[in-house]
Amino acid sequence: MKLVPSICPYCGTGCGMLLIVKDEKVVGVEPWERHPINEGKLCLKGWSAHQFVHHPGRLTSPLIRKNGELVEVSWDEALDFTADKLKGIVAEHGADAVGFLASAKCTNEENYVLQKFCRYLGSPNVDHCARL
Amino acid sequence: MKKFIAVKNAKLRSEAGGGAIQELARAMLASGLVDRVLTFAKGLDEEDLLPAFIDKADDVGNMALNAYAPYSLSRFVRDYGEGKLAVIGRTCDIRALLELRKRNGLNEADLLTVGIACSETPDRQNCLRCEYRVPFMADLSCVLAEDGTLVEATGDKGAQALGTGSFEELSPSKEIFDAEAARQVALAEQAAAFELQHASPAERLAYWFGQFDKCIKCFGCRNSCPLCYCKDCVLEADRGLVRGGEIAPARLFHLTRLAHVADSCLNCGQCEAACPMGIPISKLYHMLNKELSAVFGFTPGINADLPPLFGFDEKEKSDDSTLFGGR
Repeated sequence: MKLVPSICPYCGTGCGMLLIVKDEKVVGVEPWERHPINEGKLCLKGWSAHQFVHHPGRLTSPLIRKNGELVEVSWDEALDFTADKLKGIVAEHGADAVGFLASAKCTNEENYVLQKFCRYLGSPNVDHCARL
Repeated sequence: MKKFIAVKNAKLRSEAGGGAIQELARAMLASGLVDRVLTFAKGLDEEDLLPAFIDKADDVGNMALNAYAPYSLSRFVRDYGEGKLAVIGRTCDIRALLELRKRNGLNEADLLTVGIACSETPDRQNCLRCEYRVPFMADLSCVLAEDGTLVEATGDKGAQALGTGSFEELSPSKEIFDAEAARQVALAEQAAAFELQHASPAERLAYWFGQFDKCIKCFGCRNSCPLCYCKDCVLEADRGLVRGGEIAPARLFHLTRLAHVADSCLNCGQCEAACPMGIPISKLYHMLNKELSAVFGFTPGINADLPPLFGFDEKEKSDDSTLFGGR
């Protein structure tokens, strides 16, 4: 058993948590006293954050709908597919036709990169679930 | 018999307690007396103290002694302890292990306990009220001083562990921690903190309901309590008390927990440390536990005595006035 420092993935607060790792599997969560945001406190979601990591219902690869059915594909195929579609829509309808939804479950840096990408394409449509 | 010792190698004496605890951990691992040592170790920086299992004798330099961190080592023994394990912890950790063992709440780990007295009081309300600062119930009871460690083996197990290390016996350079003076301070702190005991029942209820109403039901107090060891917690949904998809009402949540742990509360303060809403839970539990102790003559975690509600004696079984009387 070892404790691995991490950040809670559930909301935009960004509480520090320690993942309890046993035999290379995440089996529990401890609040992280040293983290300046939450100083050793967690909410119910934080205390339960380990439960989805190895959950059988969790998606472990990208899915593309082919002939009406969702099919597991590689990341390369999924990214190529998405890039082609994005390029096609922007070329045909202009950048206003696409929008991007960032997430509170990502880091600041990841969200920054997403909005930068959105502006690069020329779209003003960027939004965020933490605004709810 | 108490001995004042430091590690034999003079170069390793700069640590608190004259390096005796590090030497003990190293020697227990190197000699194969234990497979692993559970203790506090440095995390990402000097002030980041985390519970850690150490299994290599070379890693004992990472240990952090005599510092407060709000994690209960006993919970890690309860949930992840196995094999031959030594726990080097504070008095509240050792007391929790003793109490868990009595209640069949510990897994099969072959335990050796080394307690380190809290000679400096952590700046926490529950620690200020703590009257059990010296771990006299541990296999090895230690008090750290600047240049050495006052150690007492309370049985063969502790003596055997001590025998694995290379120690030098010294004479203490100055007076070591005065446990009785610290106990008197703690009792005075309790008297001040438990002022509420003198209020009317209605006032006490109003005060605590006011506190409970702040609760956001994070379950942090239950999760961090070393004595909350039920596999199926009655406070979770679909366990007979709370319907599926619902959460327990705040007041009943706390009163139910209180009824469950009042006789076993050690005043370790982990519940309060985990509470995001600042509810002074450990004060309530400590206060109630002291009241129950006076009634039943039982204090958890200090000796092998069984809890008052552990079973029925013959007289109670046949007494009509008790719940199961005459059946």
